[in-house]
Order: sequence, then C-alpha cells, then structure tokens
Amino acid sequence: MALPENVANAVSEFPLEVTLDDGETVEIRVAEKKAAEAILKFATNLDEQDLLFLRVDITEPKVVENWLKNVKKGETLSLLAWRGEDVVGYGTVDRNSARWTHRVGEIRVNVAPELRGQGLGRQLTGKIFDIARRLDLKKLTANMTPDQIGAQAAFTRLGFRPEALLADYIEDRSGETHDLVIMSYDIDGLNGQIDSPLKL
Amino acid sequence: MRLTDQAAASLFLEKTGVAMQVSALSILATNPDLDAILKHVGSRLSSLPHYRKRLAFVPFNLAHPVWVDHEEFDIAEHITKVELPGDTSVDDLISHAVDIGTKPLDRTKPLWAMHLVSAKDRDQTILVHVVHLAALDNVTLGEDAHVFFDLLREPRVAPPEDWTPEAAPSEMDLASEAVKDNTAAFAEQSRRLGSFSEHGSEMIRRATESVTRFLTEPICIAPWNQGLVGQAREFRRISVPYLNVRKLRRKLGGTDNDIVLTVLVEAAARYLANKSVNAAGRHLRVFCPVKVRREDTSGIRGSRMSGVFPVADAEPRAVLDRLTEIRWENESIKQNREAQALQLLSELAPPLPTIPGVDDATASRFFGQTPLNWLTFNPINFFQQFMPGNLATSISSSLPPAFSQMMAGFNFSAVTANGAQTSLFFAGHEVKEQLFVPALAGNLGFAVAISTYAQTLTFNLVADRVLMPDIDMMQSSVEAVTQELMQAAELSDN
Repeated sequence: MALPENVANAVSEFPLEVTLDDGETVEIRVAEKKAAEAILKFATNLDEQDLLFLRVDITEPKVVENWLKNVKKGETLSLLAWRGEDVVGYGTVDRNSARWTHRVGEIRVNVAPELRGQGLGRQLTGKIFDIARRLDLKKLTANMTPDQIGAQAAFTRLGFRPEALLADYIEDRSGETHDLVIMSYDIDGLNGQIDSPLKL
Repeated sequence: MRLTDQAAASLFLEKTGVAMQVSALSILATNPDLDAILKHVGSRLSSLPHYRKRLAFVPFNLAHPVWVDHEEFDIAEHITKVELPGDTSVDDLISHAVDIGTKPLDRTKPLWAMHLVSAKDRDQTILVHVVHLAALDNVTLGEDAHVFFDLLREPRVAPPEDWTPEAAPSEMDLASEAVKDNTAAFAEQSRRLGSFSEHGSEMIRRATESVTRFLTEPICIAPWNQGLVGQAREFRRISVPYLNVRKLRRKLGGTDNDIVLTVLVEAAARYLANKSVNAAGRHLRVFCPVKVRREDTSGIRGSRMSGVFPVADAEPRAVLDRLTEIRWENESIKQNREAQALQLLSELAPPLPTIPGVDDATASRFFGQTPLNWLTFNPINFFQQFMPGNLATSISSSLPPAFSQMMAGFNFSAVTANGAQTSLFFAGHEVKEQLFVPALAGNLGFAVAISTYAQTLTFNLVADRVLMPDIDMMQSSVEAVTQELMQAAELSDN
C-alpha cells in the first residue's frame, strides 16, 4: 500500500543518524522485511521483566513476520534504531483495522536495556509521534503500567495525558495481573503544542 | 546550568512585589499530615534536580545566572501548612491559596514552594504548588508537577536516594564560566547564521511579517491594560464538562482550542462593551504560549516555549460568527507556522544582553520594564515608568485621544494546562479539582489558564484587583458565551 504523500514526506528523512546523550550515534531507519532476524535478536536480548509486558511476543519468528507484513501493507509504521548490524530499539504506530477505531493509532516504543537513559526512547517516541500525526488519525494512544514512570514522562512531554486506568487488565507471562494506564493524545483536543517540529 | 534567555527574562521582568511565578491548586478530598507530605515530596525530588538548586548570579552581570546546588537545602522551608478558621468556605480557601501563590519566592533559595491551605472544620485541603518561571525553563508547571502525583491511591515507592550537594562555585569560577559560555554562544550563533537555509529564510520572512503585525495592527487598550500590575489578585473559575466542549467541536467544527478561544475573545469583547470602551474597528490580541519541539541535525533536542498571537475584532459578535473568525485566524497561524517562525527568530537573535558592571537590581529595573512592555507598548505606561509621577501624568494627558487609546502587543494571555482525565492522588489523597493561576506582568492585568482534569474543563480567570475590579463581569460573560455556543449547537435545553 502506497503511503499518503505527507507520510511519505515524513519518512523521507530516514535513514537518519541521531546522537544519544552519551555521544554515541545510532541510525534510525524505516522497518523493512529484511530486518526480521535483527528484531528477533533484539527481542532475545530483552530481560524477563521487559518480555512480561510486550503486547506481542516478538521472540517468535512468526509474530515478527506478521509485524513486518503489516508494515508492508501500511497498517503499521515502524522505525528501527540500528547500531551497526544490531537493532537497539523501535518505535511503531499501529492503526486498528476495525471500523469503529480506525482513526485511533497506538504507539509503542522499546529500547535495548543497555541504551536506556541515553535519550533513544525519547528520540524514537518523538519521531514516531510526528509520523503518527500525519496518518489522518484522530487519536493516538500509548499503553503502559502505572510504574513505567519514564515512559509516562516521555509521553507527557509530547502532550499525552492519562485517559484511563484499567484495573487488573493485563496479565504477564507468569500469569500475574497488572493495571494498565492508557495515555492519549487528541489531535483536535485542547493543546498547547505546535504540530510539526522546528528544524534548525 | 545557565539560565536561557527566556528563563532570565522572567527574572528581569519582575518588579518589586510582582513575581513571575505560576501556581497550581489541587483540591484534595482529605487533610494530609504535613510530615507525610514532606516525606512524600522529598522522595520525588530526584526527578526534579532544579528543586534543590538556587540561582548564582555572575559577578559584574557578565552573563545570566546559573543554577547551583543549594548547600543548605531544607525541604521544610519549602512546604508549609496554613490553617484558616473553621467556617472558611472553599471559595475563600481558593482565594487565600491564590494570594499565597502570588507572594514572591525567596531568590536565594530554590524557586518553588508548596502550601497546604485548609480550614479547621473542613475536610478539603488546597495544595498550592508555586514555581518561578525561571525554574520552569521550557517546561510547563503541569509537566513538573506530575512527578508528585500518582494514578493509584497507594503512592509508588521511589528508589532511595543519597543526595550530596556540590560545593558552590567561587566568584572567579562563575566569571570565567560566563566568559566561556558567552564565547560558545557566539560561535553557535555564527554557525547557525552561516548554515542558514532557504527554508529558514522563508520562515524568518513570515516571522518578520508576524511581528510587523504588532505595529501595523494596533489593538484596543482594554481597562485591564491601563496601568501596571500590582500585587493583589482576583480569581474566578468556570467549569464545564469536557464532554460538552468535545460535543461543541463535533457539532460546530474546529478544535477545542478554537472553542475556548472563541469563548474568551467574545467574553472580553462583551466586557469592553459593558465598560463602554470604544472598540469600533479595533482588535483584541491574545498571547497563547505554545511549545515548539526543535530539532537539529542530531535529532530532537527538546522543546521551547514560543507563542501565537491570534487577533480578533474587539466588538461583540454573534457566537457562531466569532467561532468562524477564530477558526480562520487559528488556521492561518498554523498554515504560516508562526510559532515555529517566531521560535526560529528568537534562536537567531542575539542573546538577551546583560549589562556588565551593572548590578542585578538595576539591570532588572531597566530590562524589567522593556521587553514585555515594548511588545505591549502603551504610551501611558511608558511615561509612568520612566518619569516622575507628575510629569508622566502631564505628558500622558496631553496625548491625542487616538494615540492613548491604541497599543501594540497583546491584551491578555491564554495558556492551556491539559491534565489527567482520570483521578490523581497526592500522597494517597484524592485530587478532586485542579486549578491554575497564570502570572500577570507589565500592563497585562488579566490572564486565563484553560485547564482540564478528570473530564472537566475549567476557565481559570486571574486579574489584577485594581486593573479589573469587576472580574465577576468577565466571569458572567464567559458563562454566557459558553451557554450561547451550546444553544447554537442545539446541545442545551434552554
């Protein structure tokens, strides 16, 4: 599926080299089918705690294959952060295909444990947010647990606000239930932020 | 860390007794214990390093002040409890909380404070969270404050922290760092100007056009602009279900921002009409602070506060005509990327100058009266600031009426403060309502914060008690315009 012109323009800046807080550089690229192996490797390096809260199990080759198929179909738009041959993070926006939620996009971001705290999550979140805003969506959401304070802060800076708290809504791989926070960004809602970033 | 130009400007803009600080009021359902609050807030400070830093002014004013660790930091000096008589109403509690929030913070200490305002026989407590704009460098108070709140009644446990303050720099260190930073800033400035793109030039052209409008389209001087802001405040709040605003948007078109700005501009126009201000052919201009994310070649580097300045007729109009006018204006501002253009202009402008050798108080007096007041130029105030009283009055009164009734700049500010749509808790106490009190300065005697919290949208009106003694008239206008919009959208039973 061809991307709308404004989205194509938004992704045309990639690949893009970004500098992290410690001075290291990584390259952000739009996800492609050939990245499957690197994504699986990234997933296997996540610790048990991270894997507990993945929406889909990206340690499974079939799941990653489906993800990249959705990317190709245009239902999902994903950015991958590369350090050399390794994927060290991703940011993705999923459009729901159901009629009644087709104007809602869900943003997900994940960063390799060794690069956390270096600003990569913030950069991926910002980049994928810019792309998501151009997808003719009305609402963007991001899901997290109440104790994911860093993620809440990153999305708060982008203008997201806690919309709902669902008790015992998610279950981790060990069967324990957790609360879920849904943060949302209403495109036409009350907003003290300007759409597109200023590029210096 | 050195203050940015923007943060430093908030210090310069202060005059005696009128602080450039904002406050958030959280109405708690129950009365917290002071010791528990000290512990709760203290446990979250690791996320807000500037809450334990004070300003260190540079010798000879060679550069803006820097933040340094406050070696004698004592959280108990920043959090106080105030108990009022038992029969104090909630509105009186709020009024008292607003007054406390406008008392200038001690500049020798970290520039924030919290006050727990309660009445003896009342369950509710108002948490007043005050922060100086210099400490809110390109973040909003809401972003700062969220650290202290939880989505669950049970507060999350912050990891233990062992904070040891760094030794304060010597005067010599401060001076040499200032020279170094000035050199680096100059080099960065030159680099930016040298790498200026065609796209950048186009944005600068738009920014210049936007700034030129300030001079070529003078606005009506409202009563609340006719003098300098003093210390006393009046505060009113008008709350509506947020769902109603969303319904209005769906039914009438536009965005939530269009709807609330329509309400505010039309209410201001009606206030002027009620006060018999001649507004024929004149305009109202509103300053709406907005955040612009800026990005250089290495990716996103953070946000900066910029602003947009919608202009509208100063005479009352039918609400739907007003909405059309505001939608058109906001869309035009968006298409012209005015906020980004103004931000680019400010990034390329020379740094806000310091005056070497001039002490801070004198520099503050000089600058404190110029940047904002030039933007909000009013001949009457100009003479009042720089001349002895009698002479100023004499010159002002001899001005032709047309001259003294027009000014460049803007009439009031309207800031958005979008909060959680689900309930929050502060140290285990449920927050029933959240209110915001924006800063007043210069000759801007009226400001509004539009906040949302727990499915309620609130217009927080704050006014200088002298410049707008009849804030109830403005409150009634806001209520009336909101109601008329609801009727126009056929969402009201009336």
